[in-house]
Amino acid sequence: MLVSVPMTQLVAIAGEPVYLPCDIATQDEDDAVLLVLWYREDLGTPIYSVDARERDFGVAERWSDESVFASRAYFLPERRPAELGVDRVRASDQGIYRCRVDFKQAQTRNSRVNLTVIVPPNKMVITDDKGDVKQAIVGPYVEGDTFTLKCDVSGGRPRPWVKWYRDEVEVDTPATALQGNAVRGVIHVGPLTRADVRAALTCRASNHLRAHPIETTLTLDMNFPPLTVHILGSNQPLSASRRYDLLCQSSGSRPPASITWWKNGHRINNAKETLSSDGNTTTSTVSLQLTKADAGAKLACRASNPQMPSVAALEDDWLLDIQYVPETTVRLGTNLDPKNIREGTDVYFDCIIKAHPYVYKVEWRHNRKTLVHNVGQGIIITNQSLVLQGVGRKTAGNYTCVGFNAEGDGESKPFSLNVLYAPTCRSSQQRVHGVAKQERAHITCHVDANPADVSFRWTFNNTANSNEVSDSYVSRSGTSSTVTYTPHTEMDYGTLLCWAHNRIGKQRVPCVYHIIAAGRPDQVHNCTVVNASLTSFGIRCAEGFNGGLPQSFLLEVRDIISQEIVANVSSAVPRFTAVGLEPGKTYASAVLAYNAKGRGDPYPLRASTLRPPEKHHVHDKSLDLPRTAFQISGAMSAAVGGGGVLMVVLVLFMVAVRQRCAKRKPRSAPPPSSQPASPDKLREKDDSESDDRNPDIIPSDTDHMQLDYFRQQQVSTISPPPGNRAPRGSVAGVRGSIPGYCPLRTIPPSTHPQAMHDNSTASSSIPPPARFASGACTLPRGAGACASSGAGIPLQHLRTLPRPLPAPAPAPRHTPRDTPL
Amino acid sequence: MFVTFIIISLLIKESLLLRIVRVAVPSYKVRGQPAQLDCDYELGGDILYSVKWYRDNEEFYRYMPKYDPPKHAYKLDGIKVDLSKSDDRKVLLHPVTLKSTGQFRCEVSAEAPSFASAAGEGRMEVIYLPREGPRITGNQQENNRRGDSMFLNCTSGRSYPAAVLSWDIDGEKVTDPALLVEYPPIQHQHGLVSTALGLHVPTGRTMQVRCTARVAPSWREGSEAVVGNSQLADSKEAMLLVKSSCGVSTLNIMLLTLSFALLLSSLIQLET
Repeated sequence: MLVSVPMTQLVAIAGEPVYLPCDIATQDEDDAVLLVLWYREDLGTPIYSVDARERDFGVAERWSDESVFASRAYFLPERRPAELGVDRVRASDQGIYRCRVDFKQAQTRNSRVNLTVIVPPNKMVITDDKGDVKQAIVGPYVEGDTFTLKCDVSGGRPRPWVKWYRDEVEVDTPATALQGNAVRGVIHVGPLTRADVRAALTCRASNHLRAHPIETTLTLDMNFPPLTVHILGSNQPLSASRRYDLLCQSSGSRPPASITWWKNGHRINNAKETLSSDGNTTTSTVSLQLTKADAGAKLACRASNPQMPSVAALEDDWLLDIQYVPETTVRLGTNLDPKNIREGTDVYFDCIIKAHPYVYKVEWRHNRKTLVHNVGQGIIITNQSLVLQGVGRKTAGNYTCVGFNAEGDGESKPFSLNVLYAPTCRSSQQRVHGVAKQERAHITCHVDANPADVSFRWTFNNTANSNEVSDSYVSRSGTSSTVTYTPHTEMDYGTLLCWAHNRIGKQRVPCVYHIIAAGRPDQVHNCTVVNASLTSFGIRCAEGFNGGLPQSFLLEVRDIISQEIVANVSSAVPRFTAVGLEPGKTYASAVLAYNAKGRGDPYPLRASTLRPPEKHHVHDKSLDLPRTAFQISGAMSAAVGGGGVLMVVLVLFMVAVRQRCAKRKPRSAPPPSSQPASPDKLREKDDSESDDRNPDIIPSDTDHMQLDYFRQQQVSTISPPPGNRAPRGSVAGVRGSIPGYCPLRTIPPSTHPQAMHDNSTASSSIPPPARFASGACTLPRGAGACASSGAGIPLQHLRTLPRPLPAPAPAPRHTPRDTPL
Repeated sequence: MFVTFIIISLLIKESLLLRIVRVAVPSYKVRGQPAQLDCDYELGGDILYSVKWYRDNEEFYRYMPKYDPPKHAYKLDGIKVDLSKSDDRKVLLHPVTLKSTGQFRCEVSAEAPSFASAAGEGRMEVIYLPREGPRITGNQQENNRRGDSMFLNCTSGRSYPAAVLSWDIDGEKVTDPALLVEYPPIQHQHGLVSTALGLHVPTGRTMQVRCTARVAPSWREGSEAVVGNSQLADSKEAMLLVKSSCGVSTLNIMLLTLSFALLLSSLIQLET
């Protein structure tokens, strides 16, 4: 029908607008459009009309068939040609449309439009080989796999084309028509390689160039086993003393590799995994504290893909090389019995060393002190051995060897070298015991012995004979033995000998103890002034024989003029400090020892305090004195009176002492074996006979002022004060004349010119002390005494021994060894 | 007088709507005669808005009752409307010419608001029968020179549509294409056409050669009901006697032409 009516072909996409052309242009200016009618060829009535017969075309009545275009259609007369616009074209709109234009004058114009409506495909289903529907991800597959994807598209008109794209590149894929209007596109992929992972496989379908294609993109997922695994920094030596964080990296696995650590086939569990940002590399960190025992162990790092359990894990191995601080052991020479090494034996040690790296130095230590190779001392160090020639008891002790390597110093456990020896007499024990008759004395013999299991034998020797001491008087305690001894007669004074023996042998030389009659201590000697200051000075002396009893010491400081005691210091040792003295003044001092039997002879010396420098230079005695006198004039008479009383008391006291000293002197001669001084310090109860322990060592202020006054007065009226040099000279002078204390007061200057030397100007004015017998006073019992003779003293000693045997024979013979001091 | 082919097109949606009952367009008309086109329709409940006649989609007549005058004809080549004998259901073309041939369509439209429309159409062809018979011609000299055969041409008289030529030798139709030579049709004034057909005549004997020219629309495709009447079909013949001696090169050709027959086809009515 209507084959002769011209027809325009139009294609529209469903959902889009379409414009159906219809020429309404008039040929003649007088002409006009009356009516525009749109027909669809299968319908008898128009579907759209513009009726302009009774009005202007611009306001012409427009009508649209509700069952066809309804409100979607609108006529566009201003276009050339005019068009009927239809929005949102539907599939059902497809068809042939005829437009009839009635003109007022011109012939009616008919035209046709063949409208084709393209309906894009609306359904796409992708299935894999198993028939499973895939939507975003396909896989995972593994390398070498091949697979097929089918893309079924339906719902479009006309039948759509289907194409597969891989990463937006078209793949030549066959497409086949299916029932209905559906089409299937098939893509074959594979064999897969690692490069194929994450490939984008896109199925795209459309049925018109202008129609929007529908598409589905699938991402190819693949699983890969790991490609590499490496323990970072492997095969380097490790130190046993440190903790290491070891890293193992694996890459190439997808999903990321799981890393495990193994040591000799045992799983190490404390590893921590981290993943690189691209997900390709897994790093596992394990913290290991390795020990020497791990040397040679196989440390393995295994990487595997948890999704691919059937694929063997990748492994990197490391044979551990462990370095450690040397381990050392001291081993005694094999032919030596460590329990039976005696003095004089040669001993050698080996240092057994385990070390990696090997030691560069070996050192030996004895009681923590490094030993030096010294052939002269019998210490021979070679390689890892130590030879000790002729060991002695001092050689005993703990021996260690130390190995040095880069890891550190390894010191062995100590080897305790025990050197056995026969007993010997211990040094530093009281050799001389002063014992009064009927006094019960405890004489203790100390020996050194190894082993300490010793037994003792005592003998008593005097000039007459030698006797064993009965065991009933003897007690033993370890390496000491004590004999209880009570002399009853003169013959009971003599020498006790102590012999000890252990399983090593007998004591070669016995310990010797002299039992002497107890008496006053000897005079101290070698006294010197030390640490002089403005108001104090110190004095030190060497002590003399204690008379067989414990002794104490006393310092008296007197004003030279008034002989008044200004300081009185007692001490267990002959070291003193006198304080609270006047500056720049010289004092007469005396040091004496005392024990339960009485006082020893005093040791006199002069000591001075320092003089203030300003007075020394500026003050003139004539200027000073009146002022001083005036200042203290109010108290002067009383002070002089008090001072006089003190002087009288002091003098009386001194006389008494001297008399006592003189009486006892003959009995207190030292034994010949007792050398210059015997410093035994056995403390015994003080008899307090030698009193004078005035607690007021430091004089009160008033006393000090009085003394000061006296001194000044004395200086001003009698003689100028001694120079700064004077006290020292005095000390030197006193030292020169040892028994100076007595001469100071008793002996005229002619007999002791040296002692008087410094005091020559003042001595004339010093009132002479009480008269002492100079011989009695100066008889010393120590060495270098004013009257000492080896011949006389033994006689005195012998006189006290109970038996008339020639005692000097054993005693001098042994004393050089027994009294090394 | 009229041979009528009736084609009915129905656009039926509802019986009450406008519909075409019949559109009658004569299939063939001899040039110079009048042709009446009929358009029968039912308006149903509608009011007539227009009846429009188109030839090949070009309007040449319309009837619109609301307009004055309601009848209006447009001048088209080969279309001459006799308004006095045309109305809302028929249109008279007088006379028809060869240019009147075409597809004729009647479209009836109802008034607003429906503007329902229905149409029917039919094709009309205008023919022209030849006034003279076919002529047989030959070239004496050339035929003598060739010797072994003779060549003849047959040319039809002018007609529309073109005449179809055929050769008979001794009453038997020549179908061997090796013997026939075809020519393109020859256009003449007023759209008339003549045709020609050549024939190689074997020599050596005496024979009767006849050329027949037929003009008829009956072979037109789709006209299953071809009806011939004396005015619409024509067949004319020309005859020739060919004498041949046994001698080598001389031919005596005698133009006999003797038969001129007008064969009138009988009228066959197709009853629908």
